Amino acid sequence: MVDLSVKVADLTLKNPIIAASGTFGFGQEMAEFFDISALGAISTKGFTRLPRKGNPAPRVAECDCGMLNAVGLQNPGLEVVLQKELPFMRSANATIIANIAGDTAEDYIYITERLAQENIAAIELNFSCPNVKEGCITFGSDPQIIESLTAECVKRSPHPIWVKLTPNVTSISDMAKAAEQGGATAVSLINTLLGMIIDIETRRPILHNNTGGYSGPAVKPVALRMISEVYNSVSIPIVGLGGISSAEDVAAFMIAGASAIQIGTGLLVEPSLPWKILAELPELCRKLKVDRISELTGTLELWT
Amino acid sequence: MKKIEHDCILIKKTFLNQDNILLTFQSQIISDTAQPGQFVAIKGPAFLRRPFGIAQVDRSSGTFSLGIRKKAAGTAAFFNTKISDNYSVLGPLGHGFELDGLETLFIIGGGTGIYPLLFLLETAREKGITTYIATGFRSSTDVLLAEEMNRLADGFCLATEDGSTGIKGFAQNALEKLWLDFCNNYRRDFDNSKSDDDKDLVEHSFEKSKTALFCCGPHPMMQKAAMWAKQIGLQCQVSLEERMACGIGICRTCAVAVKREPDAEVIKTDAGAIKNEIDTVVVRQEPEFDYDRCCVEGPVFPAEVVEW
Repeated sequence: MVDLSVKVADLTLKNPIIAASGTFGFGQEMAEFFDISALGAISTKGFTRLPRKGNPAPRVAECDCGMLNAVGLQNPGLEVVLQKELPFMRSANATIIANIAGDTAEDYIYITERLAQENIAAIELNFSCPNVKEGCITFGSDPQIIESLTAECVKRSPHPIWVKLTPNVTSISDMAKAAEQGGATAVSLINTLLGMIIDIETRRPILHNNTGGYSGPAVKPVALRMISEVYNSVSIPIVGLGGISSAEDVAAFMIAGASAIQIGTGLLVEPSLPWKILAELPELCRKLKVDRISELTGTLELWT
Repeated sequence: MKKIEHDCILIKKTFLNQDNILLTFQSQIISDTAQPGQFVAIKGPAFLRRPFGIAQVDRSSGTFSLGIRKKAAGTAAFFNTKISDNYSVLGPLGHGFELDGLETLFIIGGGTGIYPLLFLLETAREKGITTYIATGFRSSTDVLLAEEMNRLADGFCLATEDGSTGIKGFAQNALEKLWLDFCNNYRRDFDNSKSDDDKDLVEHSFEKSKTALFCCGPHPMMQKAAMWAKQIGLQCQVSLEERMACGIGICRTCAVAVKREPDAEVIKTDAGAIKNEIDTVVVRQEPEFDYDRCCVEGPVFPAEVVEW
């Protein structure tokens, strides 16, 4: 029997597979077709204090081995999440990671406080959405803000605080260190890479937001490099994501340093992907000669 | 739990012209459950699935067909498909046309929008609804499915922009011609009625509440048709298209701007919790309308909710 359970600091997940924020809604649509309780956890659609309508369409553009999105954090707002979405997820026995976002530091602090009494596994601070004008990525590109805002949230929360990092910075290790300094329980990386696609006939970007976040298999090498780098820079656990679309990818991310992983864009194309990978992991572990999948974490041997 | 993903074998390929193809797949479950206006998302060689409105179903043989126009590499790849190849298909997806309670149906279509109208016509026919369809194309060489439309509909009017076949003009001109003919026939029947009973009968044959306009085609065509329907007082449903990733409502990319229902203002529900805090909240500039998902709430919307 292969043990698929993993630990992200003190939090034990039954397997390393987490649905990535923004690619799973709040689980309701997927629960019609799949057992959402079988996943290690679900990171909710990023939500804000007040409802948000998001960006005008087009919000998605396909590109080589992936896609760009600029949804702009469309979400029903904290109160609806508390009254409707989280209760549904609990009723479906899903392990909940609450992904939260805001325009201001106060937004993050307020939501963190309101989540204090909720039965959730962790809070993921979204410091990395590239598709909104305020907060998010602007915070995630400044180590001082990452550290101070993480500390403010940690101070006010009984839940583990994960910080989701953007790759659109000069040194992601500096950002991870700042999160660790601020008391984060874990860092999740990478969010999407900021990009643009151009329609040469209209000479306009396809996305109405002009730019969007690049995700999918194309960003996987970037994610692996960053995870490996961050693993050697901080001692808090890493939740890895960026283009994962097979059981082998999961293993590679864990070997690079991830304690758990998230699947996002891959499941938008193939909704059954997380469950398919889950079914393949035991066999892969046997092949890689580990009894516990967690043994893979950080076993990368760099060339010297 | 419902099954969303189906392995479907391609069993037939029909070239309609150089750039248009009808692909027929085997799937009893999709053919049994699909409603006109719904779509499927099919995985080809491109990264994302491609959404296509269901053009035909044959429940006896358990098959469904999709009409595809070659636009770019993603759609072009479907022209090189081989019979008996297997495809991953999500479906049937979305909210289709609502036919309940209708007796007379006017339909306008253009471009690839005409494909789902085949399925609509067939279903309307089964339900005993009288149908009048107007389609528009650039030129006679672009005309698609004219024979089928003529066979399935009670009235059919074709328009081409250069007048090389049918009437000269746009689909909207064809629609207005169908409507005029319909009204004239109605008036003539009414005037020729010999008794009050006959008049009652004729009057009953056309009730606006049981008549509708359904649209599927280019955005400007549908916008114009919806305005026209509003002017003459016909209910109208439009099948919209938007760039889409997942097709099942989770990614929120296929946003369609819709008029906000005053009661549905979510923000009210948090008034109690947030009232005292609201001064410190940066209140964002938010649009007046809402964004629905083309793949779940749509692709067919009542025209009056669409923020054109």
